[in-house]
Amino acid sequence: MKKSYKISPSLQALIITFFALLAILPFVYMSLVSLTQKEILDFSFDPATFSFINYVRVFRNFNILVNFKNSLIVTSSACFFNALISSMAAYGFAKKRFAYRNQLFALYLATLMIPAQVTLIPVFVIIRSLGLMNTYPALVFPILNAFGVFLVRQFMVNVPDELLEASRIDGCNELRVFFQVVIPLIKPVLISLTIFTFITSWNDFLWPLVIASRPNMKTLTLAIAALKGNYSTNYGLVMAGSTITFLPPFLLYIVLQRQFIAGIALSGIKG
Amino acid sequence: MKIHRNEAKHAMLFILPSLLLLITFSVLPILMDVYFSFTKYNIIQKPEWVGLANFSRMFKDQYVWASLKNTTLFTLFTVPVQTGISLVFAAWIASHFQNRYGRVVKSALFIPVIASAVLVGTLWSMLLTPRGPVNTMLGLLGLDTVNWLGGKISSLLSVSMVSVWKNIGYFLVIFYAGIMDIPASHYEAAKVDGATGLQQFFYITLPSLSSVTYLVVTLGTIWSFQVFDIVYTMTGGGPGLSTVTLVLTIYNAAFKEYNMGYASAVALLMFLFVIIIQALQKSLVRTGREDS
Amino acid sequence: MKKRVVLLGLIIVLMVASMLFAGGVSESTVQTPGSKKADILLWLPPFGTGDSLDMDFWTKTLAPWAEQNNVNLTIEITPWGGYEEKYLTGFASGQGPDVGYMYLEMFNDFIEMGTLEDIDQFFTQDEKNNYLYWTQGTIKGGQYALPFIVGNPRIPFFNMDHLAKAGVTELPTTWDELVDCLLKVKQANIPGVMPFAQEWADPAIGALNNIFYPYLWQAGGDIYNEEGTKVVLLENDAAIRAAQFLHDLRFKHQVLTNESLALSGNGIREAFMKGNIAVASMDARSGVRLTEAGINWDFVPSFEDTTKAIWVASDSLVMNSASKNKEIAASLMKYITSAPVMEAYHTSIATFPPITKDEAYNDNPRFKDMFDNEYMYFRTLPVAEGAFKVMDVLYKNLQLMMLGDLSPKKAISNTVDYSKSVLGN
Repeated sequence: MKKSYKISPSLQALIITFFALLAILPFVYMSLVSLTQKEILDFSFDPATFSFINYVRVFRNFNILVNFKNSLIVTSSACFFNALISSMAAYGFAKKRFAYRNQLFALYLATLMIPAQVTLIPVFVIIRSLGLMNTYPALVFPILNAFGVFLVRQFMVNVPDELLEASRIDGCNELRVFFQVVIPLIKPVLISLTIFTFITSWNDFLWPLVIASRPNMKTLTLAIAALKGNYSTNYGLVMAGSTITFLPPFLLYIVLQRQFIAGIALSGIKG
Repeated sequence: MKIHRNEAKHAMLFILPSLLLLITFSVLPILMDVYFSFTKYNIIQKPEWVGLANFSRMFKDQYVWASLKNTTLFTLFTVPVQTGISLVFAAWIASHFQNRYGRVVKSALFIPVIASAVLVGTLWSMLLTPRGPVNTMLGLLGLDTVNWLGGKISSLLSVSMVSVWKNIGYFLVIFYAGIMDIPASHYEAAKVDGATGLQQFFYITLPSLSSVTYLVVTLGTIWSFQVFDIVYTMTGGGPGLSTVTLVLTIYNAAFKEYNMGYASAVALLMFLFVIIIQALQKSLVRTGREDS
Repeated sequence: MKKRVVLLGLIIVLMVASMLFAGGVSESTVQTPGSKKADILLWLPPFGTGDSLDMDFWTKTLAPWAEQNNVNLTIEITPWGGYEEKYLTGFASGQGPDVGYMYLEMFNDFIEMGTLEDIDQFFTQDEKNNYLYWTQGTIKGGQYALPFIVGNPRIPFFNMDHLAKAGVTELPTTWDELVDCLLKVKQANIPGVMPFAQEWADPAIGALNNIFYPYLWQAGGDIYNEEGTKVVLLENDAAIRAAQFLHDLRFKHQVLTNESLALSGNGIREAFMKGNIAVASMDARSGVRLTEAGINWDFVPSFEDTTKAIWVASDSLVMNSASKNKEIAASLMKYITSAPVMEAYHTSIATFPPITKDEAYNDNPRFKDMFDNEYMYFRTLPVAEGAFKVMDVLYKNLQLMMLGDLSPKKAISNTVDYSKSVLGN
């Protein structure tokens, strides 16, 4: 009889469920703590004492709406420009031929290996000399990087050249070909890229910390960080802040989930 | 395909914006780092030329050697484990759970990806305390409790596992998408030939996923070299030098010693190291492909 | 087709416009025409915990001063995370605060960089005399700091219930008495209770303030020489003795358990609050939390080896040397540290002992005696070049020692070697 190495679907489900629970439990814990006034991090909860007062405190005591606005502006600008600029570059790499194309793309890939801490100070020096401290562009543009180009290019390889030819024959200039033919076809991967960019720029801490030195330019992540005291900690307050910061990217993902997966799926990366 | 006039010119127009950004925020900074690595610089006063002093300190510095070692170990653990788990889960979900349960589980696993690394490090520091839930669970199973954050090997293991935990959902989605792309006809033909599930996995799924796997491994390797926030919040590099990583060393040099010069030197070392690893990976893949 | 292009174009224009015009204010708030208000920027870190938060407190408290001095005061509460980065880049970009807050580890470098103003000239002799800790702020030959939070000493806490069960009647005051006390607690074998605990698994080097420096100083040693130019851990045997003492607590007397080595500073406090520790060193402010948790605790200010020594925090207000309104900045510093403001701060935001002679004592009454009579044993961290790195190396080597990997002698000599070879002193 053939030895069966098969793991039955129910066992598979068990293992996967275990990991899924492991994935969400810390965040469940975070939300539960946010409803308490805990000063010790333990696992005893008294549901009778749950309240939303910490959330009220966060909103009342901080310039939260301004911070929220800043985060929204920075993040949505980053998403928009990343989508635009990356797809333009991806179009150039995928659909045009020119000298040194592969070498240039290799340069793009090389820059992905550079961690943010390494470029923080030089970029800071650059921004400072351009006189762009405390401006939205300074917060947005350093976020855009080669990852978007890489991702979109994979997808764009599958856009049929015949379609592009056809519209050129119809008399469209390059810009129209790009915006009217290419962009609609790559929507799924743009959505995926938007989600990635949203998560990265929303959670960004160190860069906004050094660039947005004025209170009215602070992002939400920064403002929440100021909740954590040094000697005594009201964990409930800190977790309420963390939960507030966590929710927007989470909700975005929930809403755009299907397109997100489709975007990576159809990118033909199995290529 | 007709080669159009001005094709190169058009290409440059489209690439220009991103190229400008790349040069300004990636290439130029690296060049500046090269310059800084020969100086003593605290960004408030002018850089002071010190020649090779930073490099000679670097070669003597046990922190740097420990960083290389730990970062390598960390990568050797994290990348295979997260690649393996996410691949296997993707295969399972694709074959048996293309339903609501599958979608829920994929979302749940993606949640750690959404959270910031700082939040993840903070939460897990709490869960890994001596009498925290993880040790309590081990106790219930009759096992010894572990000093997760204070032991030499266990600390490195802890940060590795937390990193894997954070990344599984991301790579799972990528693998899943890749599997979805495999034409069903391939599997049907195999079933007709009498192939088992496991055989289908090894002879159809895996080969079709070769470039996806390459992407996952490459991204995973790059990210694991850049690990910082998780280590910073959970162990600070200790105990001893057990969890000191390259970026942590760079960060401390830059912002605790105010020594951008030394930080840049270590950064260049790291950059070099990553490129070597990538080149190694590429040649491994190439020989792999030549063999098969 | 055309509509979509137009729509897209409109969106792009809107986004770019909103970015360029809606934000990016590099100057502070809009000034009413004709007013000649001075702009002052104040950075303070968070200490409040919930009911009263710092921003609220300072805005309300400083409003009268701002009004009186015709000042546009912008207050920012800067998070503890990324603290040095913020100050570094703030000063480097000319966007630093007029008045800020720094802790000891920052002083050497920021003074060397020329970013801090010597404020001696802005204070009269009477004013200087009123400050209890004025001389603490004289660093590297200049008055670069106005001590603002001096206190929160790290002291050994005792759970008196556990000590009673173990038959300990008097609080230990010397190292030997401490060992005796801990051995008795160990013998009493109270379930779930650690005799002694130290936060060797804490990620930050500040842990050493609780777990090593007091012992180092009590043994008569120090990290640096008086000028801060040389690492003197091996000049006498104090460092090795202190390290050996801790090593013995773990391996010889075994009163420092495995579990206690896996805790962070917060973990220790919380375990103590739950009654799981008999003796541990914590910051004085934990006393309040222990009382709230119903723990019957007591303390001694310091153990005595060759001498007594108590680690004390010394954080200060600083003035930006590039400030355009130094006189006004000085006035703000004086106002913040004035008795009424400090009394309000110490009652509603964070309890610390007084910093001026005319301020009432609002810290925990149990510590008043210590502040009155033991202050001569207060010690603060050194201000020296490369101090962070040396302390980091020291911490990491001591961690290995506590794990049994290094002997105390090796741990200390490794630190000195590293300092000599890699750092050059």
